[in-house]
Amino acid sequence: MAVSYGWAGKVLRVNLTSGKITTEDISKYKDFVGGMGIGYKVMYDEVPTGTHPHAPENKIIFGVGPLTGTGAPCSSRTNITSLLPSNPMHLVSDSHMGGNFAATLKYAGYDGIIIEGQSANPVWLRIEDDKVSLEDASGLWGNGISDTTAMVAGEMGKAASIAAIGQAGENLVNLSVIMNGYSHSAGGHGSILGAKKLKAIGVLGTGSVKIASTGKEILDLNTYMMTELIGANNQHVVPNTPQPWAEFDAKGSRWTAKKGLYWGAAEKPIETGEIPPGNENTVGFRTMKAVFDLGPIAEKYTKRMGGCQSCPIRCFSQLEIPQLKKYGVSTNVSNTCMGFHSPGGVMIKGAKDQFEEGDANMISKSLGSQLADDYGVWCNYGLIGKDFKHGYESGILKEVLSEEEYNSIPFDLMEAGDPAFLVDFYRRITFKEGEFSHLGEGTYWIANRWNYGDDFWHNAAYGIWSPLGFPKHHSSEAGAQVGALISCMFNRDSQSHTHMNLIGSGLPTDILKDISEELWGSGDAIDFTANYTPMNEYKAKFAKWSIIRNVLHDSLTLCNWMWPMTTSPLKERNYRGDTALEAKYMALVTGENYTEESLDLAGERIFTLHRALTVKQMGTMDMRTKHDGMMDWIFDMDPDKKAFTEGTIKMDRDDMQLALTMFYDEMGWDKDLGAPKRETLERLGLGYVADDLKSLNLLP
Amino acid sequence: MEKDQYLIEDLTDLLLESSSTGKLTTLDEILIALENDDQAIVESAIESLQEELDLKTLKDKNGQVYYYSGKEMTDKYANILIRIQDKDMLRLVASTVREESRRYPRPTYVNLFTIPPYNLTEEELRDILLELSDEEEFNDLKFTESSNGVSFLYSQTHLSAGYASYLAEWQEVGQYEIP
Repeated sequence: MAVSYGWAGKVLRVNLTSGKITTEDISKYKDFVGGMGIGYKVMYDEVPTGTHPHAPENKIIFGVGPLTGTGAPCSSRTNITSLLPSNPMHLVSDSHMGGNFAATLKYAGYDGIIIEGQSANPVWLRIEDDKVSLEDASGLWGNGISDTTAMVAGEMGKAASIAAIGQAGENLVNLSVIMNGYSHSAGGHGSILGAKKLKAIGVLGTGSVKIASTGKEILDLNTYMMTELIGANNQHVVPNTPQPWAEFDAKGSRWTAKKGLYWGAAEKPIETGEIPPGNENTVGFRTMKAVFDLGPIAEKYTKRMGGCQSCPIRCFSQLEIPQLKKYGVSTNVSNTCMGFHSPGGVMIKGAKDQFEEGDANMISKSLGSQLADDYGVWCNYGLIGKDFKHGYESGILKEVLSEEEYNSIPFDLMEAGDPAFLVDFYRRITFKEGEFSHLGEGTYWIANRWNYGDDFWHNAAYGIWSPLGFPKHHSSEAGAQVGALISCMFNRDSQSHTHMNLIGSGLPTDILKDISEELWGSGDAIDFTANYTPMNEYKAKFAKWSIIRNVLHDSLTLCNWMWPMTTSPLKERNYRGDTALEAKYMALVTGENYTEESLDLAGERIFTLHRALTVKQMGTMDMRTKHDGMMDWIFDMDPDKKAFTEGTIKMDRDDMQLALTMFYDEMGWDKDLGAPKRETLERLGLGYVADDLKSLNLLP
Repeated sequence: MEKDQYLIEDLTDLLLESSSTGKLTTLDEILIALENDDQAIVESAIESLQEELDLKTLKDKNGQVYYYSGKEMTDKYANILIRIQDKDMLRLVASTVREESRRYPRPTYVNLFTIPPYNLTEEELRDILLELSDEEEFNDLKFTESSNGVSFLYSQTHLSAGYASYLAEWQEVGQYEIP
């Protein structure tokens, strides 16, 4: 067998109904790169339309890619694809996790795992290189993710990477996660594994990823990226305080390193110091996320910053907070970003200090993250707290819950800002206790069940983006029509950071406009913050590029929270990044002639397949009105202001319809409907999809 | 190693170290640090490092010359330092705010001036903000506040009141709600 460079060469297929375990060659998936691309291909080809997410006919695909495990920075991402239970039509979606699962899977020799069928009894999947087996999980079932991970590690050893679900996934809670490494979570698909009775996947890999070039060439490319291109978390390229080396600074930047800031609970406190560009060995000190997410008090509880395999950014705060013992959870905390912010949002009246001055946020957010992570509860990008807030504050909860149940919920704790409320909240969701627990079904389902009205759906304070029940996520507030378009295109909240990382880089807008001109032909692709201009063709190009890079990263796999390297922290580079860097890695790793253009074409193929699958699942070509809708608040907010005036992100309805038209055209989709056309599908090597859609009367 | 070579190496280390730690350096400080009282030789050594260290100079209001390495310190930062040296805080605050309002554009959170390199005490800052409000030459500078009580300054030459208010709220509250 010829050596496969980059790709491990095979995909594992596990049928839980029959117990049959097979492998198949990666070649049929190579046009789709890996990760997300494998996921969409399998879902399109193999899962019948109308399948319920929890039915045996549904499949779930864990995909990694040709750059996973190669040592390319920020490359240990696992993409998980399946039907999404929280989506009203159970449309296909993806969730992602970092950690070390992805790289370990490559070392074991696999580019992905396709899981199908349904086991009669709880099992876990054991992968040790070529030795793959299904093991009895009756002893694991009922445990949280933390204990499950420890028990599987007890069987396989410390070197194993373990992905697991908690009780929320077991109990088929729609909003549930799959998690590896105790805190690296993929939101939305936990209950798929629960329905399949697959509690965990343990992987031990002793192999390696074969690289076509010399190791030195890869190291040289790494050095280039690490010294000239990479910034801090979210590719922020300026520090958040004035520093001698930096021409610019921005308070919101995640480049938090500065003199006098410490990992205060390290055995010997470690000062981050200022970390200017140029030294690849100190990049890991740049992002002190603990204070960014939890406030200044978190500094003294920070053991260190952690993160994923092969990632220099270390965006995961690892703290020891002894006070958490009071609530019966582990005092060792590891999390980042929404993992912390979401429980903060459940405390709808705010949190109060509990043990010392200034600890309110740290205690409530870290306690909530411990509970949600162990049970494996997802938050629908923070909407679970808003779903609860509306029910509580509108009085609907009082109407839909029995008096007994309502009175049993410690709302007094929540009103008092006591985070002990979270213990009760997450338990009810996880174990489906009472009517209240339906909050775990997701926004669309709960809003329908409890008859939430327009004051919920169209309320700017809640920020629901789509009638499909997902929230804004770097939407109209992030690049006007660009963020808005991106947010309309997926079947859950958009997880694209391509555009946001550029806009939020910390550089002044004039520099961003210059970069925009070089990449998309005009500075008009980028507006000044909250000073928007009407739609133009360059914004359509920017939106397309952002999405196809996003899906490309989830297929290669690279972390889209960091990639692409659109900007640089170096003045000598005029702050220009290198958007061809993915292609440079691919060329070295695979030995094949990858270019920026050829990879972008692959990204376009993957995203168009996602769109075609959505058309097929929904049974309509009319994506514009049936899928790409937006809530009224986006257009009606700030009633005293007009769209395209200073100081508002209000959008204009006609302009957004024009934006959709221009974007569809840019994608080669039908300009009126937003469904892919035959010529586009054929250009992308998806002729068989065009034939299939034609046979279903779904081809424009 | 030749004596001159030691001098060059020590001088290089000194200038790079002071610049990277946010300090401008005078000739006197160099002479003391190097324990070398031969000004001509030291000046000649400085001259020889001009290109390698991207050496630059600035003068304070008394004509005192300061050195810094452009490899470790930006001109912008050096200019802030010289104005601090000149105790020209009022105009430094005003020009910083105007530049941020013009270029980013964004209002400037006033506590910026309490952290390095500005390092104003709360009392000093309060006095400066009062002075800015009183003097006509600064009457383009206005205050706004985000909903969490953080004060911002902006120049109405570049930002309208409504726009500045939105940007302050976005900077302080909005951006953190969508992490």
